[in-house]
Formats: sequence, C-alpha cells, structure tokens
Amino acid sequence: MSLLDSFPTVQCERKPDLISPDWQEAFHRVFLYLQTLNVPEEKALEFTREALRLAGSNRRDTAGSPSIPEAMCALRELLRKQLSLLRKESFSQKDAFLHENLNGLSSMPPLNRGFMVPDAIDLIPWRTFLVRSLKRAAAIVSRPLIFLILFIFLILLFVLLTLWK
Amino acid sequence: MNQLFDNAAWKKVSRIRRIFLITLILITTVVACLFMSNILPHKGSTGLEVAMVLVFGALFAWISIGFWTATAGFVTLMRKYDRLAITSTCLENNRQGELSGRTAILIPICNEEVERVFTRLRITYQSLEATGKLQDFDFFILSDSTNPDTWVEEEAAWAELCQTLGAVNRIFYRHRRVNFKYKSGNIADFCRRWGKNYHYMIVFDADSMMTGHSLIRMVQVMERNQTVGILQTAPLGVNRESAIARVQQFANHVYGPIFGAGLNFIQLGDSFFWGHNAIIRVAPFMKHCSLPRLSGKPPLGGNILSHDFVEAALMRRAGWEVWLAYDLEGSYEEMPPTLLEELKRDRRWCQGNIQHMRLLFSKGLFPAHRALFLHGAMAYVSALLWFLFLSLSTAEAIVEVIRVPDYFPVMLSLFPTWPVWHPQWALTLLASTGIILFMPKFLSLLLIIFRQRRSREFGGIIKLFLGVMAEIFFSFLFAPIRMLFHSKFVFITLVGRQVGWTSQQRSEHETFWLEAIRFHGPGMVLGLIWGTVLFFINRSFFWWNTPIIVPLILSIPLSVLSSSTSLGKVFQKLGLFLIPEEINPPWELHLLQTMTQNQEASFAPILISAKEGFTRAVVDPNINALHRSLLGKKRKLMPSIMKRRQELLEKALTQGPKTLSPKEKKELLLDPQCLLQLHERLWETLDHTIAQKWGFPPKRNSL
Repeated sequence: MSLLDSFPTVQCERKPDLISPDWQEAFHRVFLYLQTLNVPEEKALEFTREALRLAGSNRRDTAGSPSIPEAMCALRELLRKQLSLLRKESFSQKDAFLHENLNGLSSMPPLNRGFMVPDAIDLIPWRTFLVRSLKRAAAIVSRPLIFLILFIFLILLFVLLTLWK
Repeated sequence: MNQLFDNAAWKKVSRIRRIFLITLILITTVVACLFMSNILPHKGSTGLEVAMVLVFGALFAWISIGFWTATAGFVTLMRKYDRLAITSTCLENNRQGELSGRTAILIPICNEEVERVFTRLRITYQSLEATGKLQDFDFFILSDSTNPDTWVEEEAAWAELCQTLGAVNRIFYRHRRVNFKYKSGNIADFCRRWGKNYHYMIVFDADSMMTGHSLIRMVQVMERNQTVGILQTAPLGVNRESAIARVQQFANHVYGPIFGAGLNFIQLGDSFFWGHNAIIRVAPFMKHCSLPRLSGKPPLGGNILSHDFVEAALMRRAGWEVWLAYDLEGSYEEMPPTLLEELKRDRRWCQGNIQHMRLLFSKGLFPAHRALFLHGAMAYVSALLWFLFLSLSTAEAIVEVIRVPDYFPVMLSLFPTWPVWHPQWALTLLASTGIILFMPKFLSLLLIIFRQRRSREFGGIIKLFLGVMAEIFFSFLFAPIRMLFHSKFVFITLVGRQVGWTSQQRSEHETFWLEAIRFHGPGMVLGLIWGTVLFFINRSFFWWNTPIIVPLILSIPLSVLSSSTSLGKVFQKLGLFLIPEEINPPWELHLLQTMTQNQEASFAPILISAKEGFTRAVVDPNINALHRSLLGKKRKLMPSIMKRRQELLEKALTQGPKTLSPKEKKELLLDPQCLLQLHERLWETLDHTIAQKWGFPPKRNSL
C-alpha cells in the first residue's frame, strides 16, 4: 500500500468538504509530476500538499478548489523556491544530476577550433592522366633519334605488310 | 620528417614482395587461361570464345590474389614471429608505460539502436577504467541521427551513462543538425571543433567494441612509431545468433588471421583503413585527409561515400604510414544479422568503391593505394564479370547446339575436323579453380590445429573441421545469390542510380517471407528460366551449372532460413560454428551479453517507451530540462518560423504526438521555448483524453 493511498483518508477524516473533483484532479496531477521527477513518495506528498495550499491561497478572491493549471503553476513556483533544498537532499541521484546542471549543462567540451581544408586533389583525373600521357608521349617522340627509329620501324612495317600480300 | 619516412626499411621489402605476388598471379592466370581456351570447342578462336577467355582471366586473377595473399599469411603465421608486424615494435608486456598523448574515442552514430550503442560504450569505458589509464581518454558520441525520437533517446542515454559512471566531462555527446558528408563529415566536424585537444583518435562504428588493453596497445604502438598515421586493427565478428551471421563470424575467426597476415605481408605500411576500430594521428589527419567533393552528380560524383580508403590514400600521399595490426586482439564488431542486411550494406559499399575509380589516376597517390582502389571496386565488379562469363558460356552452349558443325573448315581437305571436347581438361581446370578458392580455408584449418593448437577454442578438431565443411557448403549456396545482387548493384551504379546512406539494422531480426519474395523473386525467376532453357537445349551444360542454378531457385527459402535465430541456436547446440569468444568469452563480451539481455527500460509512473523520445521530451520534466539545456543558447527566429512553430505546438496539444510527422517533431525539438511551453501547457491540461494520448495514466475517479 503506497503512501498516496493512505494520505487522502487522513485528509478526508479531517476536512471531507475539501475533496472536490477539481481538488482531486489537481492533487493527482501535481503528485504525478513529482513522481516523474523521482521525488520519494513521502516528500512528494508533502510538496503536493504545499503546492495545493499555495494555489488555494493565490486565489483568495474566488471560491472553490484550485484547478490543475493553478496547482501546476504553484508547484513550479514552489519548486523554484525549493530547488536548493531539493539539491541538498538529493532525493535521487538522477535528479541531482539534472537539477544541478539545469542551467548551462553542456554535453560538449569548450571549443578549440582548428581547420580542415581538403588537399588539392585532381577532380577530373581521367582527363589529366590522358593529357599527361599524351604530353609525355609527345616529348619522347619529339626527340630526333627516337623519331628516326620510329620512322624506320614504320617504313619496315609497311614494306613487310606489302610483301606479305 | 621526409627523411624519417624515406628511411623506412619496409619499403624495399614491400616492393620485392609485391613484384613476387604479381608474378605469381600472372603465371597462374596465364596457365588457367591457356587451359580454358583449350577446353572451348573452337580453342578460343571465335569472338565469343575470346571474350570468354578474357573474362575468365580477369576472374581467375581476382581469385588468385586471395589465394596468394592467404598463402603468404599462412607462411607468416607458421613462422610464428613476423618481424614486420607493426605490433612487434611495441611489446605486449609494455602495458605499464605512461601514455604521453591524449586520445579521443569517437563513436559516430546515425539513427542506431541507442541501448546497444550505449551498452557497448559503457563496457569499453569500464574496460579502459580497469587498465588504470582512463584519464588519457575521452569519449565522444557524434550523432547524426535524423529521427527526433532517437535524438532524445540518445541524450537521455548519455545523461544516464554519465551519471551512473560518474563520467561527466569524460563522455561527451554532440548532435549535428545537418549530417553533411555523413560519417566523414561527422568526424571532420569533431576534428575542427576539438581535434586540437588530442594526439590520437580511435574511431568506432555503432557495432564496434574494443577492450581497454587493445586501446592502450594501439596508443602505445602509435607512440612508438611516430611515422604511423593510421593503425587499423582486424575486428572479429561476435555476438550473433542468426544462422548466416554465425557462419560469417566463424569464417571471420578461422580464415581472418591468415588473410590479415597475408595482407600485412604484401602491404606493410601501405595498408587499408576500414573506417572503424582504428587509431588515427589527429594532426596529419586534419592537415591532409579532408575529403573534397567530386565533380558531377552522384553516384559517381558528389560526396565521397567510402571515405576510409580515400583517407588512407591521402594520409599515405602525405608521407604517413598506414598499417594493419592484424595480430592485435580485443577488437570486435558485429556481422549483419541477415542476408538482406548484408546486401543492403553491400549496395552502399559497392557505390562507394566504384566511385573510387574516379580517383584511380589522381596525382600523388601511391601505387599500392591505387591498387587498393581497384581491389575494392573489383570486390563487386568481379560479380558482374562472373555474371558476364556465365552469360557468354550459356550463349556459347546454345550456339553450339543450334549451329551445324562445319567438318571441313579448310576447303579441299581430305579429312574432316571433328569437334573434340576434353572433359578431363575441364575437370582439371575445375579442380584447380577449387584449389585456388578453397585452399586458404584448409590452410587456416591446418594452422589452427597443428601450429597454434587452438582447435579446442572452436569446440575441438572434429567440430572445427565440420564447421569449415559446412561453411564451404554455405558459401556454395550463397555465392550465386550474392553474385546476382552485386552484379545488379554495379550495373545500377554505372547507369547513374544512387543509393541513400541509411543506417544499418544491426539488431537480431529475421527476414519475413514477403520481404524475401520481394528481394529474391526476380533472381529466382531468372534461375528458373535459365535452368529450363539449358535443360532443354544443352543438358550436359545444365548439369555443369546446377551449383549456380539451384541456389538461385532456392534463394527465397535460403534467405529466410539463414536469418533464423533458432537455426543459429541449433548450430550452437550441435557445436557448429563455435568461436573462441563463445567458449571462453572475455569479461567485456560476457558483460555485453548479460546487459543486452536485461534491457527494455520502463518509465513509471508515466508509461512512455524509451523509443518515444519526442513524447518523453515533452512529458518528462527531466528529459525536457535536459534537452532544452543541451540545445544551448536561445536563437532569434523569423516571425514566420515562430508562427509555424506555434501552430505546430497547438496541433501537438490538441491532437497528440502521433499526429506529428518526424519533421514536425524535429522542428519543435529544435525550439527550447516551444518545448517548455508545450511541457507546461500539457501538464496543465484539463482534457484527459489529450493527456492520455501523451502517455498520462487514465483519470482516477476518487481518492
């Protein structure tokens, strides 16, 4: 049996007229919020009661129980005030971690900028390769001796082919 | 620095070894081609036969590379000591030495399974902590996730990990809003922001895991060898349960070492970079390895996809060495769980590797790296060549049946020329091809049994032998299916159709029948038509081709069955495909298995699954605060954007999270003000139906 189940019974015995549907809804919503924050039940009940009391006192001019928006507003106000207290008590490690770093928590170290620029790389290597090869070939062929040898070779080839037929 | 590089002794050795290897490959290929031309009906004299011999030659050269590499690896490992292994420069017992440089461990992720990634990271962290050298390392989770739910899930997992390990300011998380240049852009982004803080970076994949000792050894090797720019480890496949993945990881463990040693034998300081499980010297990487954008449109132009090969080539071009630490233990990865996942990955790799052809003649690259580009492309182009060879041989077989034999090809001849076929030559060629293909597997077996005496780590000699035989059978079955898909990938890349760079499905899952029919249906139909035509036209040729036709026809059930984890478990029970990490797992892997089994977190009191990151960011006050805090400074927005976001907020509040598209969710997540407003207004809502849509428990009627 959770504390939540026992809490309203105690309240009901004392002031049954206060347990209106609005109050119940606001109670549940605020308590749920605190539970998602991993606040232990006992502490959550204490906060819930305090938030509802605060919400009630904030709407002195109107009658009835505080609504969910009013209760949640009051809870947020309360949490802001009590943040340091919550932190000290560190009701759960997870919350302690998050709340402690709520302002300015960063998942990254400070920047230490460098640069990374692509090295020159030939983006059309086929064309460059072809041009380079042709240039090399032209340079070789343009030498007189090589040109002469090539010329003789071609003549011989031509003669041979003619004789073959 | 250049003098330092020039004095490297390995360069001379590598030149001799490479010339020797090329000679061996050429001799084997020429002999095989001569055999092939003699087998053909017209002794390779027709155009069709010339084409067949040429394609056969290219294919035979390709498999000869594997054979001779494995043989070189076998010889190296038989000698037990490799003086040119990079790890031999830094002895194993030198673990206590101080590390002078700081190292960043990078985990680039993109829409991965968050729990698995963070569990691996946690174990790597703990393993490193156990070495006592944690203070020299930082961890960076570099997220490119585009899925808004995954983004929030990653942030929550990061916060929890930092809190449980006490690792704030040791484990960092960065989410890029635009995943420009994919993984390489992600790493470059890290380098530009924080690269100057580190001497080295160790790059992980989403499925990578390394032990603390191997991480330390890598850093030590880098410190000992100041000319090494990239040091790649040979990761071993682990942790898989599906049948096909178990076969793959077994093959990886049994054959991997001799291929690794063989690659190192030939490449030495001109080695590979596979993009993960490797350590990189940050300064030269930043200076020389930024990738340019290729001219033209994708798939052959645009951003370089398989960036790792190019980065290795650029590092080498700048004079830094790239080594493969093939004998470094404690480096793990996971195999794709199904054949379809493997093929999806291959499609991306295929496109990336073919794109490298554009860099083949780039000025300044080392010949070895040009060869690696060619090698990478051939890994897929070879499939198309095989397909071409089969098509040509089928055409030849059909033509031979249809055509009337010409017994007197030379006019006025007294004697007819009979078409002669030598089946014994064909069998000899088949046997030699078999030896080239399967000998490396038997060499690995011999090495494990007789030299390393590690057969017990694979379940004993008999189970190891049976495992190898079964693996060969599986290779036989899957080779034609892979061939067909790879041919298709090469073809569609060459005709200019590109593929998206989506994240891989890495967790265990099985292939559904419908999915298999959709993917393998065309291949099965092709196999049926091809088989029927051959059966009726040339029966003897049909029987020769049954090892290819039958797997194609059976591709659908093969794909489904091979993805089955129950079949994988049956293999495990029988002791087949066991790997040393299963018989005697290191504590890191043992812990990983235990932790992945106990996952599936619950978020009481509000019932929102961990996967619903966006809903959690709106509802859970902790996650909301965390996410807003990580978004950083508030930005000034144009009124039109603010208006659009306000409309989105109203839509979310009135219709619930399920009506929002991922793009809309992402837009809301990018705005801290909107997110806070959404959170507060949701908690204040009086409408219980809406509240329930966001995961609130049903209304309680009374206290």
